[in-house]
Amino acid sequence: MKWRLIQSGHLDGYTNMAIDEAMFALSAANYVPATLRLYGWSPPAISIGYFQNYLSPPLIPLPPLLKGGRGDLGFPLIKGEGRTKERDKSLKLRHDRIDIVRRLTGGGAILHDRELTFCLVTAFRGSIIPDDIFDSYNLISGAVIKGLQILGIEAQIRGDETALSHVGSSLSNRGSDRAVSKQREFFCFARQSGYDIIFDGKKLVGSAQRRKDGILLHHGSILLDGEQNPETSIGVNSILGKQVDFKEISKNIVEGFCRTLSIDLIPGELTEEELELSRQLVMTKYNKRTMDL
Amino acid sequence: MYPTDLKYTVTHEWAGIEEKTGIVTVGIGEYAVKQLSDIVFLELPAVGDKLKKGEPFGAIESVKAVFDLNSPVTGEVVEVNQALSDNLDLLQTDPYGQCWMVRIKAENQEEIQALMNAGDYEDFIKKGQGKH
Repeated sequence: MKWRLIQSGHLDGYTNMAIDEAMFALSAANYVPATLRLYGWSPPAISIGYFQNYLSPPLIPLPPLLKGGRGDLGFPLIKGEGRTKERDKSLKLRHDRIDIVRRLTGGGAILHDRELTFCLVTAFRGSIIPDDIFDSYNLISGAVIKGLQILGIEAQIRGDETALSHVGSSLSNRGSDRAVSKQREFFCFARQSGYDIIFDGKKLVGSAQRRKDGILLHHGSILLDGEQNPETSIGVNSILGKQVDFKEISKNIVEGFCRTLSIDLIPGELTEEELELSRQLVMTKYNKRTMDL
Repeated sequence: MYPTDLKYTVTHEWAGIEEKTGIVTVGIGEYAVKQLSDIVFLELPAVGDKLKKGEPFGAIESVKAVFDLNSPVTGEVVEVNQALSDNLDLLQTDPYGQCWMVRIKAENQEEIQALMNAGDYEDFIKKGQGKH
């Protein structure tokens, strides 16, 4: 079976999310084939889950950004506990300088800096992707784990459903005007669930799904550097003790999908319809000036 | 197995109509609740919102997936079950009773009659034809 492979390189957060939504929408209308899209983020951006509420910035502390890299946005993070005027000002500055975008998928917020993101869009009825949510996660995560294994990393699915605990800091979603929820950690990589892909007990890959009209969109974030939540997450570079090239890990993940799903991933391009719809979505939905966060 | 006084959609919403008033009560059925497992978020429309048959009126998130909730009829939202958002666990035990989500004033009651009855829906589930 042949699937389309889209390798987009590094794009801004609005464009990345708009392309994924365009693929999803047009796939539901049978205009595009099953697709695996791989991409990075430049500049760094924060994506929040579909249901997460973006409250006043000082209430949502950002994880420490990486010094010296693209994640170092050039303004200080005031260290320490509790709220102070200086710390609030620092956080506000950081929020003003980083793109924030809402995902179609659920789950917690992610700071996208040094990571490989994948987006899989396909039908889950009458396809190789199981209807059952847990089974579909198992298959897709199995493909990612195979890719990581080729790279030299023995990762695994956490698998312990009782691990839905709230670890780490005092971060939390403090309710929402969009919806009401059970409280959870705000950031994805501070959360634990049985669906996580982990290494040495720490979260290496975060993922989430959206389903509509028989079509599935599966997002996954593979951390290259895990310092954004060092107590709970880990990155590929830390595990291997070297800087892994974006293209190298992309190639291994593609191989993992091909072997596990028994598919051929054929390099392709976005269609004119996908490009046009994604441009419209950037302008009308994802641009922060018009996006209702 | 499924309440016989209700109608069902291919995306697992149930609908009950009060013929005298044309008010349709809508929720999601047991099958969808089991699929979703641990439900963490629910988004519902506002009273006065206009809905179209087959289009989303809200969304629901389990631990790892977000699903659209699709309207079984065209009409206007006249009531929303806000209490449900505060007690999502209820969906696990009583999806057809206290866990109704919206009430819609249907423009065309015939749309309801076109939905599946309980027997057809049960066959539909057995054949694994759902779309969620």
